[in-house]
Amino acid sequence: MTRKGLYTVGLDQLEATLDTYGADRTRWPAPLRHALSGLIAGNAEAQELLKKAEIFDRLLDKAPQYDAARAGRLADRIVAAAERQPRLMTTDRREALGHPVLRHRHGLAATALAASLVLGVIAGQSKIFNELLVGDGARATSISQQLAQTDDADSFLDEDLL
Amino acid sequence: MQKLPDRQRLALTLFHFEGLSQIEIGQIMGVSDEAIESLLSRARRQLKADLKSDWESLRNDGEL
Repeated sequence: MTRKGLYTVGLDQLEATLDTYGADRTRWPAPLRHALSGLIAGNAEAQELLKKAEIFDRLLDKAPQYDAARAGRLADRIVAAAERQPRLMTTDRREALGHPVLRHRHGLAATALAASLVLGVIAGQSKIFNELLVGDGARATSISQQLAQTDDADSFLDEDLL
Repeated sequence: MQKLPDRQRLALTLFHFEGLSQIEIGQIMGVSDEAIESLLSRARRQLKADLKSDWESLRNDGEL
């Protein structure tokens, strides 16, 4: 499916759209919404597909959500550990990145950002973070310190969780 | 949702639960919005297949 150019509207196109974006038409790309509005208005089969997608959306809404408070506390622990521990960095990398203090602050900010972005969204839905969130605090702190002590923390989050 | 591959699960979570746009998700995940479209589509299709029996029984019971 492409959003560039003209759409050939039909039930297949509607089904593909519903499979991608769900039944909430406000979430569809505007060109698709416009192209499919006539089909939905005048075709009973299209309306049935839309109705099924609405039901599926409601089923999705019932999916267990992450515990935002727990994820927030874990993110706080990661940031706190990063503040306590000096970040490990090779001499070559320090020189390549310029002033070490500036780099440290940049790294800390990046760690905090990564923690808030990633944990706030997927904690509770990932087995790894579920284990951290429901496990004992000492183990979680230990793992968060390991994350904070390495300059590869950001890439770990990016590569393994994104 | 735990059964979905990480990237599909993340894309669906950000889109459906967090309300982010396709473009925003692409920026966060570092991929094109076309790739997000594909991830969303595969995620929903997989979930529909996995939840088919639950979905239909709930629908027949009028719980959805």
